[in-house]
Amino acid sequence: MTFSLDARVLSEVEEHLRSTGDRALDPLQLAILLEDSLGLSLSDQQLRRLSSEGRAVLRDLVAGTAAN
Amino acid sequence: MCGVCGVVDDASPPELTVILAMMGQLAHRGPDGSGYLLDHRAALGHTRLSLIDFAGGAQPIGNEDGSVWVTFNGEIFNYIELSAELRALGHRFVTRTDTEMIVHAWEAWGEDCFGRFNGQWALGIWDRRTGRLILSRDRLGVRPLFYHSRNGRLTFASEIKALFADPSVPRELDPHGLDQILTYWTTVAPQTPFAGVQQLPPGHVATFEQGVLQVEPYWQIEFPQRGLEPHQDLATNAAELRELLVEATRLRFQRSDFPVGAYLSGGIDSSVTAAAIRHFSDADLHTFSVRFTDAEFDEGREQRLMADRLGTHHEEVTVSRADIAEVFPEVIWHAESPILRSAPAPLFLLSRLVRSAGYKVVVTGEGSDEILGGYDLYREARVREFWARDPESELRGRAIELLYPWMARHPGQAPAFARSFFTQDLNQRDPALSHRPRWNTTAALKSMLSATMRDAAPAPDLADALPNGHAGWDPLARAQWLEMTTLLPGYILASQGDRMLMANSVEGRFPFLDRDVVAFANELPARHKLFGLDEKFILKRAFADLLPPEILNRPKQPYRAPDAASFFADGRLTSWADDLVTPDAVRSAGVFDAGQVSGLVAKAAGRSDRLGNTDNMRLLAVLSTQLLHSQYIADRNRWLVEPRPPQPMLKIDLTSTTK
Repeated sequence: MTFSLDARVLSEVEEHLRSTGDRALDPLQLAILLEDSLGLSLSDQQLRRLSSEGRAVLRDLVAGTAAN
Repeated sequence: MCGVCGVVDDASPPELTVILAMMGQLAHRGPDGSGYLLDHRAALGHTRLSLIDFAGGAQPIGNEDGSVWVTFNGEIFNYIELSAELRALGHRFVTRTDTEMIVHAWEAWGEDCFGRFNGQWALGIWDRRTGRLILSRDRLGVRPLFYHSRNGRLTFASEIKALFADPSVPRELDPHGLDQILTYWTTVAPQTPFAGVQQLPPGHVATFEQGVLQVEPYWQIEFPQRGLEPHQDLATNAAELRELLVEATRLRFQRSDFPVGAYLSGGIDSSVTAAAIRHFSDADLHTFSVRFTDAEFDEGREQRLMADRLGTHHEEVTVSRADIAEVFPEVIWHAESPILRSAPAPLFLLSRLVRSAGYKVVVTGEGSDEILGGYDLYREARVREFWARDPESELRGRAIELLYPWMARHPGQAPAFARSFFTQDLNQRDPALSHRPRWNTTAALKSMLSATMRDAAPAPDLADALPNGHAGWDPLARAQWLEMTTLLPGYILASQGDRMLMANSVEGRFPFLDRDVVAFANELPARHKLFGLDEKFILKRAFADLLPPEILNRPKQPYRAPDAASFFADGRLTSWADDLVTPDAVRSAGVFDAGQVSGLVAKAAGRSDRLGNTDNMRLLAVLSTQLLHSQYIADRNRWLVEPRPPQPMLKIDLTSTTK
């Protein structure tokens, strides 16, 4: 995946979450979206982090998974 | 919309009586007139539903010197633009029809002409110059086209019942066709339910010359490699989709000499097409809906909401269980296939309403779910793929609770059957991962087959037919390909589409299946169609300002009708079915095991309201297959309808001219 696609997907997700007041996407749904769009595979630990911290950790997770 | 038929025989001139009988069987497709062309080795027949150029559009139509003739069912929506190109090339037109454009396009561009057509068609061209018959069908199978080919003779027609008017065509159910239906819910072209009868696959062209038939694709369903989709910007894509859909709807609404109505189902797709009409036109709009006496299936509130918002003249037909049972024999007569749901029956009643209101054409929303990721099956597949990445992960397993609200209300407690259903064959390398649970569930119906039927070789796995390069597609694209190859042409556009519409002489037009809309949708990134688990995401974004929030934000409601329950009243099976499910009748048809059928009917009589999904499908499979066998094979004299071809009739006899 290219960096530009990562950035585009992240900005689409963030814009959607902003516009819907974070109500539209369950954290697991968010994980499905990230994995399908960016070809990632998040660990259970990362999934738990996404569930507890929400969109605040999106960029960290994508960057961390890409680095791995 | 019309009916087409024809015969080419290398050994002897086709008989006029045969072509007239075939045309008679297609009278419902074209009640406004008929016509035939009789040549030394070929005959073409046509029944006409007149929509464009009532005075000049009788068929078959030939070119300037009468060397190329066509019988045509459908619409080429860009015919005005193509006709202008052909005039510039020197072709002379005597009508203003899309039909005449076809013969000139064939002369000018040969088989390449079909790639230039934007429309919905099934047609036969008789080229006297080369002695060739050419058959062609639209890209996604909106219009049907069947044929039988043997010993240098080819017979073709819009419907199988017209093929059977040719005595050389056998009447026999095909175990392979039934095996496909009891796997995919439909046969997959070229297979049909009848032995020796084939259908031209969508997007294909066939040539029959000197007794040899060749079938080739002129178009295929294609998707870009994952991550390399050419259009990545969401806002730009939403704007482009809207522009294309509005234009596709405009073409389908305005290119008719008769007023065009619209279906409103209460869902997003038909709301979009109706709203698109309003967007470019102030003309009166007549909308039509089907409602149910069973509240579980009824979408009347949403239909009325949309009709009020658009200010349409709205009419509805309310369908009861008894209505479904009453028309079911007619539904099967027209569908010409076993079906596993009763859902076509209300659509048969809806098109009857349209016709009685004086309309011949309706714009509808079919195709949206296939091209824009609308089906629950796609969402389920996403969850299965997510889970398959680590089947041991408890967290990932919780994702199935996102699929349906009743599961979310009981977190961590999704029933064991749901878990076992969604974990069936959870193999990431399976290209049909999306469809495997549905196919497996449907295939359970085969346990009811008779020993003879069970012995027939099973249908090849459709996953093996995926095109080269599919491994690089997004999994959603693979699921879309499977859906666009099976259920769309074989059931949605046929048993629920063309056949239920044409049964009452009504043409359906489908903006979502426009050539340019499909090409654009197939190039979209999967996330723009299915955003997480949010289906048809880009469509909702593109038309957010034209739809009320109640429609826009409503969870998808699959179109369903009461199934087994429709056929029982006070624990008794509906009267016409009694004779069909006796042990003798079941053994005579040879498809199902008589003992199992008796057991199923007894079980359903006791609890038709509470039958499970599989037993519902079993009962529908039995009733529809037994009806089909009775109507077309065993008791055909009882069901026989021999209407005459509609008048006025155009008669063209070339048998006295040189070959």
